[in-house]
Amino acid sequence: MVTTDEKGPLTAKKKSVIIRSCDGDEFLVSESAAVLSTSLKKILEEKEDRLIHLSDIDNKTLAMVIAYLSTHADDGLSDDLKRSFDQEFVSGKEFDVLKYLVLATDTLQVTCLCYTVAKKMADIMKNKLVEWVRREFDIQNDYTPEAEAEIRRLDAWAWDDRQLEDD
Amino acid sequence: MDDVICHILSFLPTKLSAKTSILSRRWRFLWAHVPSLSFSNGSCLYWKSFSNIVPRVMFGHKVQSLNTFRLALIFFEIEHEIETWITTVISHNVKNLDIYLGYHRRWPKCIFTTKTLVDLRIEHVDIPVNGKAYLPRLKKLQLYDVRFNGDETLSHLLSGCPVLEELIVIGDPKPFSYNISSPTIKRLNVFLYQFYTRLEINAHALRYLKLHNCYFDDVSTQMLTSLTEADIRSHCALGFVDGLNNVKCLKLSCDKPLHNRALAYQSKPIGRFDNLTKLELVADWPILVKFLESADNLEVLIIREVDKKLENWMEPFQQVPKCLLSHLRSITIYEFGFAAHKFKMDLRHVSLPSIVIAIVWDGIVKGSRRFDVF
Repeated sequence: MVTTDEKGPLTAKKKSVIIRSCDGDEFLVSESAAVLSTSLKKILEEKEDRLIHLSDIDNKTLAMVIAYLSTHADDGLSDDLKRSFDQEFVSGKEFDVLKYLVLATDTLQVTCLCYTVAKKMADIMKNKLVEWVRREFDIQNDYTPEAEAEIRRLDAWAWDDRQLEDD
Repeated sequence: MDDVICHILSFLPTKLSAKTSILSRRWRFLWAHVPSLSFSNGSCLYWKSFSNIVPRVMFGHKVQSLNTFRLALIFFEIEHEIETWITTVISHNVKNLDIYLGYHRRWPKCIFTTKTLVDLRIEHVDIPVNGKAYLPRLKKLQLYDVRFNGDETLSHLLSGCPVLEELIVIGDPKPFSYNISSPTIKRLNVFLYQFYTRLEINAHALRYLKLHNCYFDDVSTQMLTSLTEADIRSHCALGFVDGLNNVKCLKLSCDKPLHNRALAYQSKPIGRFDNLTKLELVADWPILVKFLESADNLEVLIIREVDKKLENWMEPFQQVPKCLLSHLRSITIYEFGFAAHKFKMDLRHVSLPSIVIAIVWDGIVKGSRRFDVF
C-alpha cells in the first residue's frame, strides 16, 4: 500500500521518499518533509535508495508523524497555523498513543514534536495517582511495603504537600 | 528509554518528578537525572521550610549540565539565598531560565550576564537602567510585566543579545517611549497595558510581528523586508503600515483613532502589497478599499466587526480593484452589524465564478453564497 501525504499527487512531482513501517506498509513522503527528521535526513544523505525501513515504528504512529512532518514542510502555511496545528495534534490523544509517539519522535529525532508530546504527557501525569502511572508505563512495583515506606520517609519533602507546590 | 522518561519528567515540577521514585526500583533515582529543576513556593507557609529544600534537592541532583531552571516565588524573604541558587544553576551551564517573582524587584542581576542562556523568561524582574547585559547565546527573551526604568534600557539589553531570535514583551514596561532594535530577531510579540508616546522598530530580519493593545502617539518602523506575517491591533495600526509592504499574511485591526496623529495615519497612502495573499481586517470601508487597490494578488479576505454605518459599504468602487478580477477566491465576514440580506458590497464587476462570500455570526455560517447572487 502506498499512501500519499496530504498534498497528494502534487508532491509526487517533487522528490519523494518511501518509508516502510514495522507493519510493512509503505508511505510516500516528500523529501522536504522527511528531512525535518534529523535521523531520516542522515539516512537520505548516506544512501541513494529512496526506501527507508523503520523496524520499530508501527503504521498508526508513523502516519501521525508523517502528517506532522508534511504540515511543517508546507511553505504555504503560516507559522501561527503551524503552531495551532501542533497544539491540536496532541490534544485529546490517549496517553498510550502519546507513548508510542514520543518514542518514535525520539528515534526519528523530530525535536519539536518530541517536545510537544513529552510536555503533553507530563501535563496528563500531573494529578494522577501512583497506580495510574504504574499501569500506563507497565511498571511492576518491586518494592516491599517497608522499602516504599522508607522512600516516603527519606523523600518526605516531596510527599509533604505543605512544603512544595504541585504545579 | 530512560532519556525519554527524563525528558517527560523535565516538564514536571521537581517535587512531582521526585515522587516518581516510588514507582519501582528502576525509577528510584531517575528523577535526579532529569536535566531540569522547577520550584514554586505557592503552597508554602514559611520561607524557611522552602529555602531549606531547594539547596538540598540541588545538591542531590546528579546532572552536570542543567537545561532548565524554573523558580516561581509567590513571596520571598532572604534575597541572597535566591541569588545563591541562581548562581549555582548558572555554574551548571543552565540554558533555559524562568523566574517568576510575586512582586517587582531589580534582582537577580546576575542573570543578565549568563553566557549559556538560550531562553530567558522573567516576570516582575525589573531591568536595571545601565547594568551590564551580555547574553551571547540567548535566542528567546520573554519579558512579562518587566519594568525597564528608562527609555534606553530595552535597547541596551537587546544590544547585549547578538543572536536573539524571538522577543516577547507583555505588560507594562514603564518608559514612555522605546526602541526595539535588533538585526537578528525573527519573531516579535508586544502586548501592552497602557498608553505610550513612541515606538520604533528596527529589525530587518523580522519574519513575524504581533502588536496588540499598542497605543502609541507615534510609531516608526523601517521597511521590514523579511516580514511575512503580521498581526496588529492598535488605534494607530496604519502607522505601522510603512514597514509591512512585503507581508504575505496580514491581520490588521484599526481601532478607533484616539488623536489627530492616528487620524492622519488613516488618511495617508499605504503603498503596494504585492505579496499579500491573506488579509484579515477590522477597519472601515475606505481603508478596505485602499488595501483591495494595493494588493493585486489577494486570495483570501476576512472582514470583522464591520462598521455599523451600512451606507459606507455600498459605495461603488471608483475603479474595480485588480484582485477582485483575478486572485480573490473567498470573502468571509464576521460580526456583522446588520442583516445579511442588506449587505450589498458592490461586486458587480467581479467575474470570477469561484469567489465565495460567507457571512458568519457566532461561528455559524448564516449566509454563504456565490458572489453572483448579490
